[in-house]
Amino acid sequence: MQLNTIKDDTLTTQIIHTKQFKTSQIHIRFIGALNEKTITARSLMLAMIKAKNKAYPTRKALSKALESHYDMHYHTQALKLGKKHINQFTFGVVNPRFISDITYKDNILTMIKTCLHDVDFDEKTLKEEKQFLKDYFDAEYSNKSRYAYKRFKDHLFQGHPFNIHPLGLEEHIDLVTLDDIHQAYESMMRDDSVVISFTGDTEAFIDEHTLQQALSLKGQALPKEFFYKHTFTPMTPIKETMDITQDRLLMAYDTKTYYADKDYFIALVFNSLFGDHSDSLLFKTVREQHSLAYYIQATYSPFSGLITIMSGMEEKNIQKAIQMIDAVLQTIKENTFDEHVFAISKTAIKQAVKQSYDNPTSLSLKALRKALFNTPFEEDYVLNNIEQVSREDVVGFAKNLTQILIYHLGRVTDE
Amino acid sequence: MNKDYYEHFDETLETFFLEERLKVSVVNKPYFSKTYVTISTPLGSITKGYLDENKQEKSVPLGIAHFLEHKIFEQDGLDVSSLFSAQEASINAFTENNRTTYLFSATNHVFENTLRLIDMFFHPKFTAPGVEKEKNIITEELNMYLDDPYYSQYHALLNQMYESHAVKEDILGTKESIQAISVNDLKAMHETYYQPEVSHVIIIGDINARELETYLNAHVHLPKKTNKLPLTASFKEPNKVIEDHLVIEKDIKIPSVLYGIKLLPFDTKDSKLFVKTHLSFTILMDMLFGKASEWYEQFMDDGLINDTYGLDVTVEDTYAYALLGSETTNPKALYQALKGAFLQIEASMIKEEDFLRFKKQMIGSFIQSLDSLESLSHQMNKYAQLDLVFYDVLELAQTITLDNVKSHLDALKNIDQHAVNMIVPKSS
Repeated sequence: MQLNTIKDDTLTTQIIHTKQFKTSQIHIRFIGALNEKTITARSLMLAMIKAKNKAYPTRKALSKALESHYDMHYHTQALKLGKKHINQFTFGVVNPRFISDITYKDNILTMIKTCLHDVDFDEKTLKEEKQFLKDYFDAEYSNKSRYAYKRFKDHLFQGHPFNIHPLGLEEHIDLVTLDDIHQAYESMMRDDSVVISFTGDTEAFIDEHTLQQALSLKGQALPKEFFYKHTFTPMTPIKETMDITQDRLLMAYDTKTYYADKDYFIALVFNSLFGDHSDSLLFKTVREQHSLAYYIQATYSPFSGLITIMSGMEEKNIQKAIQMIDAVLQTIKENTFDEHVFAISKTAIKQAVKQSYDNPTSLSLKALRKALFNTPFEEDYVLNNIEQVSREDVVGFAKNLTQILIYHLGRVTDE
Repeated sequence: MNKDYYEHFDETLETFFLEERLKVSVVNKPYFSKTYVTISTPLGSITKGYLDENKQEKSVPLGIAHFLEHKIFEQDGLDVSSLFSAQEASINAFTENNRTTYLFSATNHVFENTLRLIDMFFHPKFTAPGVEKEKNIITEELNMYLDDPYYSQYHALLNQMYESHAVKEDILGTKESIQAISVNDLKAMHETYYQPEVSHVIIIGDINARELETYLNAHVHLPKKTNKLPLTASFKEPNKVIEDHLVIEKDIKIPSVLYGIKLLPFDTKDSKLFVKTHLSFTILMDMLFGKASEWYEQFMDDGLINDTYGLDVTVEDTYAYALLGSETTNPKALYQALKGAFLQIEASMIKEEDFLRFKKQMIGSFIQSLDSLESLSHQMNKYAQLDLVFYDVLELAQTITLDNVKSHLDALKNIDQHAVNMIVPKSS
């Protein structure tokens, strides 16, 4: 496996050459500002591109074309990365060596170019996509785990860019016009930074120059500033109620540690030990020893600097669980945790890192991080850094955590 | 050891038996860091009991297959999953209607972890305190799912469609049945159904199969044969649904419609014919209601569906059904539109041009599945239960004709076999 990056002030192209897969993936990422005023039009524009284009003027026609191209996968996704918003296109195709049709390879490249350049925005599709987006936000209320997480974030990220949903603002949907969509597209093509990545067998498919020529994209130089570093202020615990079967508990801790910081790998090991796998301290304590919950998970976000705990249980067990979580954190601070669990927690990260090199999307993201943050692409970089994290590092890290919020979504009671 | 090279896909499948009882299949995947290993038994949630040593039928509480899935990890009160974790493997399991599968993915110590998986699968050591402790964990798992309205809707629709077939029951059981499960129930079900002859190990990764065979043969310890027998289930179901229309109020904002067609189970011992029937029926549903269909476009133009729209076809030996569903702001209109569409279906809607496109799609979809070790393993397992090799399925699929597809049209038209479930926001 080899990563080759070609970069100038207008375009970054990354080729991850590997013979591992029978398919190839092409990612095209447009990186722009995370702006509350423009994000709704930007996300609706992306959805409209995905719906149809000039060559395939209906959803049905586009679906037929993808099926005819041997089940070509075409996805779009609006994402956040720190202070930036990414409109991501993903194309997945079967390698030409498995297809007897000699026009297949050229047809694939034409199809991708068409999707990006031959856009066809109209009022009917805008109306449909607006409704879909409203439906999406309404559906967040339906699934109570999703809703609990949404409410938790609403409280946690007040006034923080992380409160902006990557799909936009519900209250802005009706205000977006077709002109806004055209402007959002023109702005994306003109003002965004563009990163193209190809993951697959270049000998069997395509080289970087053919890919660049075929897609004919140009944008701005890569941004240098991604992080919104924010000191969170501890909040009073919040309890809300609704008609649910299981109470949800969510907690947030500020680590003040961000991606590629000097303590970044310590944060990964701490989170793993604390609650990121089935041998972690929280899972063993809350689920295995006390049977309070089916799941309890700690997640570290290197772009907000927060560690979040999520679990679901009966109301009578919520306070017990909070005390257990506090007690587990205390064992880490006091350096009394089991050495075996510490070793397993590092092993779990190493395993996840190695496995991530088997996934084309993960490979593409590693290449993107190299382009944006200059972090090495190779797995040894992460594995060696994880290995060097000591118990004392983790203890020191735990002592600097600040609990920000305890959020409890409970059942409506008669009281 | 048997070795087959599938040139068209550039894949090698090797198979061997341990102690001439347990089948092991190995797919070599060069360059992959991960090895994905599964072992499965044909015990699923629809199995209601077993025959004891005296051939007496013994019933067990609902949800026992899933409960067993949780407790297999126990060895005298200790959880063996940490032994996998310590050797760069993460273990998991899942229960389906007709199968339970245990799996791990590992980036090291594959031979040792495979042996440990086989040993855990055949030789768990349940304890009464361990079983009691698990009851609350599984109840909380059920509670979590019950807060997902689409999960509840799916089960509500199956209950509208089926009178007594166990497929209508939740795989986890009920809060009451979970409490009723005992150590003896678990031991008896495990002894009956976790037998090497009906189990299958699948290993996919950059592995030397011959060395693995030697290692496992040197260390494996399989259980003795049992005198208990699996319960051969007989399900007598009417050729119609029980309740064709049900509206449930929930604490939601956007309604959802789930439309089901209860199909007659396809009773044949010919596995290839069974698979062809399943695939040709799936093609029919895709041609009529997939995202490239006229109906899809119509529903979209009429504002009846959104991007959550989907369809699913399930064909098993004792039950079969097709489902279509979407979130919608107009559930009654979507229901009428779906019902109307089924009444209007005719053979002229099944076009040669669309059929040829689906054949291309199948080729692409098949090759794409080879890049996901999880998906490949799942497909191999599914077809192995029918005594078929997954790599032969594409060739079999290519023999499907347009007439095969059209032959299922009548199965869709009997409106007595249709049911709809609508969840709508609570009226204030």
